[in-house]
Amino acid sequence: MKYTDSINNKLLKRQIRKYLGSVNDIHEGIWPLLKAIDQSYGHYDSDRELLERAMDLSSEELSLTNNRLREELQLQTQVVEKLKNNLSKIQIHDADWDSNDLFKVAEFISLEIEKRKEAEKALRYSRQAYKTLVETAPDIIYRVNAEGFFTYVNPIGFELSGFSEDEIYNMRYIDVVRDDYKKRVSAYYIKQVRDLNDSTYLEFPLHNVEDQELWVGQKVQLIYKDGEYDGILAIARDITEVRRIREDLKKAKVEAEASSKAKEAFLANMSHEIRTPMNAIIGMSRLLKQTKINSEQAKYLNAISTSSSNLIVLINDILDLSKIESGKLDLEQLGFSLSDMLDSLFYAQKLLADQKGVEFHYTVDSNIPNALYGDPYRLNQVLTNLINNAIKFTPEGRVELSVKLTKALNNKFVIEFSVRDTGIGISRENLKSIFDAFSQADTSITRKFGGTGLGLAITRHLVSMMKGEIDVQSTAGVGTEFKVRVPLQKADKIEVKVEERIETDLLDLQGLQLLLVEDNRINRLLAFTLLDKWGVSYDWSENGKDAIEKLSKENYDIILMDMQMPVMDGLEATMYIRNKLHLDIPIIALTANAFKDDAKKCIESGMNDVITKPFEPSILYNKILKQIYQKI
Amino acid sequence: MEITQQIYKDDSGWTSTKSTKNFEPELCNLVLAFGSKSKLGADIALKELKAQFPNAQVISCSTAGEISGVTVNDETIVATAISFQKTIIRTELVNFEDYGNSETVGKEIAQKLFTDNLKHVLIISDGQLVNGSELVKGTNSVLPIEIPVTGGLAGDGTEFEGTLVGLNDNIKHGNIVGIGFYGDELKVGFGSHGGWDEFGPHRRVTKSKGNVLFEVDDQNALELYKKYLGPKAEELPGSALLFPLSMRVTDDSPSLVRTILSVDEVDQTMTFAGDIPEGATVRFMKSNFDRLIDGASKAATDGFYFKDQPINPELVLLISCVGRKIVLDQRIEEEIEAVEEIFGDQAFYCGFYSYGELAPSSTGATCDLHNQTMTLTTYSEN
Repeated sequence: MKYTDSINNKLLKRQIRKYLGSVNDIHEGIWPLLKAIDQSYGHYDSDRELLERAMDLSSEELSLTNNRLREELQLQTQVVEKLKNNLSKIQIHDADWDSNDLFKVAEFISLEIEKRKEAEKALRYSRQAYKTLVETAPDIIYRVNAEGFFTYVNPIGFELSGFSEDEIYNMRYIDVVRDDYKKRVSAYYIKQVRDLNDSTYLEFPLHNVEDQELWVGQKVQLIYKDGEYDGILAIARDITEVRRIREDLKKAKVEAEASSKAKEAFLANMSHEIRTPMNAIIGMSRLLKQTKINSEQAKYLNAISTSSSNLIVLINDILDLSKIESGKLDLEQLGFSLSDMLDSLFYAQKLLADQKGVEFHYTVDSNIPNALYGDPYRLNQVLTNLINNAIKFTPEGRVELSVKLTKALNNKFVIEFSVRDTGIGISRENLKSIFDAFSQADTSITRKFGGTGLGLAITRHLVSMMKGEIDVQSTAGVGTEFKVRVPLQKADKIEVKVEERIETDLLDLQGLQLLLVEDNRINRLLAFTLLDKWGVSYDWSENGKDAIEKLSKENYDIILMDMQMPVMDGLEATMYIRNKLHLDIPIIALTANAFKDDAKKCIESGMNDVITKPFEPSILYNKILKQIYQKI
Repeated sequence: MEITQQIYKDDSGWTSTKSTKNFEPELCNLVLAFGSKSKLGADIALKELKAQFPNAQVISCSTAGEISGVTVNDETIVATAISFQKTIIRTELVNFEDYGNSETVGKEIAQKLFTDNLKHVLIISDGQLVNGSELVKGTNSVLPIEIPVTGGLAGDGTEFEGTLVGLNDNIKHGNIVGIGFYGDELKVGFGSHGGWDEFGPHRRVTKSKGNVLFEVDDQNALELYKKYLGPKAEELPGSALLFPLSMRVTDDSPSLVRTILSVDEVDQTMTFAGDIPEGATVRFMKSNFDRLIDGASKAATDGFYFKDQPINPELVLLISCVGRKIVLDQRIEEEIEAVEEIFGDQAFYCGFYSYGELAPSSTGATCDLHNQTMTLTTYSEN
């Protein structure tokens, strides 16, 4: 083998040829060196080849890796975009992250999740609190879906209705309504849903398992989901007891009203029944007094007379008080003359004072207009009562009535009526209860002075009804002063006149033809006695019907008509006389019915005047005279 | 330190090759005998050796080639007898079969030797049963970093069947001998270098089991390897010796060379002469004669560390990889000559071609198992 054959490297072969000339000239010892060099050349060539390949492959790998990275980045961007979209759907916006940094995104999301967790925790807590509230609420709280089925009922709902959870959740709300109310309740809520009326209140009874009466009052709120009606939320309260109380109260009121009516009727009736015999007693006593009697007999007659009068006062007072308490007493609003009223009052009381030897006079403030607007009758009653009392409790000395103007504004006046006496006075202790009903300063007073103990109570009520006030000052043993202040308006005209006094001495009734319509024999006797005394001719009827018959046959100047009679009563008879017989003959009612209503009815039926039994003979006399005189 | 060197050949028996003037066989305390498995197995040569140095501890080790001076021989025994005058030598022998775990074996040896004044440990280990990576993990866990551990794994020519290691009469598979050097007068140096160049991308081991590699960067490792080898792939598995992998277990650990022992075309796996753990970074390596020879020179210069101050070594122990011998072939002695150029011809050179080299990668580092390196340990006494 030639040495040259063992040299593989072309470059080395060329170099050997170039620098060493012919291979045959090369010294043999050089060959191992050349061989080593050849080997090194070979190694470096293959090294280069390897490195170049590695470079290519690496470059390929790098490129692949780059592509993969780009794809990954693209994917990452897409993922982040999608994530952003999804997050924005749950109201998380990308304000705080750099979308290329997945780590930051992850951190941001993790933070958001933490926040949500916290919020959820708070929500859970709050839900729990509401749940507890709902579950422990004393009212039934429930939800019903759009199909009318229960979807939630709190524990009290099960307890009150008696239905189990399984039962309730398979029921419609209408199933728990009592059968007789189902139609009504259903219609009501159908309307609420149709009208989209957000909130309503309705009361109805439930049909519950125990079949006990159970009423609820429920507030119903409509629920919407995505703007559509989605059922109701209701709070229902057990109002069974409330309703029961309400019903009881209603019944009690009706009963009370009925009872009050009955009481009134009873009083009216009793009043009538007492007055009728009292009329006879008083009238007969008077007549008896005018006969020849000895002093002892006179004393007994006086006692009868006084007792009878007291009884009448008592009855009147009780009637008044009863009317006041039941609110049945109405005040008149009339124009009246103050001076007329005071005069009439004065003359009536002066008589009493004179009899007792007590001085009585009155003064009036000249600034007070004479024509005032109010109820002269009740004002008269108040003052009469006070003056009466003053005279009664003043053994000697005097009683003064003074009328003063305390306030004037435009046409409105406050007028003070002061009644002062020099009587026995009232102790401080007793002053407190002086205005209470059935209270007199001292029980001994009743024994000594008489009276019903109702006078001041009535007085106080009347004053208060007139929007006035009353007070009293008193010193025991020195005297008492009552002051009444009443607001009164100035009147344009005087509508009522206080009864004019007619001088009975100048006119008499002799020759008058009178028809007495009266079913009571004793009262007839009383009337006849008086009429005989006054020289009046008379005829009588037992009832209205008989009177009408008599009237068609005879002519009369005047009729005295009782109210309550068998066959035909006074009112009917009067109406017949006026409307059928067309007679304008004066008719005076003689009635034991002391209520104002009765007097009104009498006048309305066509009567000319009314006299309440028992009556003073002088009043009857005067009234007859007045009718005849007026007619003339 | 007095040294004498002999070589045993079938035809001539023991012949002395080099000796210090005052060497006396009775004073010799350590004999390093590196020989072919067959020569060591026929115990006649070792008996004669033992008889020459009655007071010495005789360490024997099968090889893939024996180094004596600058000569590389096969089918011989090279014996280097040393009289340490200022250094105490202790030897310990354990057998892998008694423990069944290379790390435990390493720990056991180190614990036995680790007493006061220990300066250096030389380990000669079985190269077939023992896992070198685990073995040094064991010694490292016991010995402090100031005590350098060096050594090598025994070889079996290019057979890879079974290796022998012995201490005196006890020569067996699975033996590991530890030699402890004690005393302040001993000066030790060490160095290890391969001469392999990394190329191509750094890759991460994504699937492996022990020393079997499946995937790097989630790709089939063998396929990738072949692709980079190009036409040289056809010469596998022989050409694998020229293209080992460099490996770093972690990013800050030293890079180690891992030789490919075999490839399995069926399972598409590669088996290495050391562990390739998952997560390690690997890179292809290449070399050529000149770079390998230059590498041996670097093991004695740039990659060489003295434990103490630099000194001319009296004895140089060379443990070089069988891979290098196969690659360099007829030019193998050039790597010994490259070392001799550094330490001079006064020193005694002895050593063997191994299945693995043990040495720290630098001073202040723990011992590692290396592949494909020239690993040097130098000795001298003040």
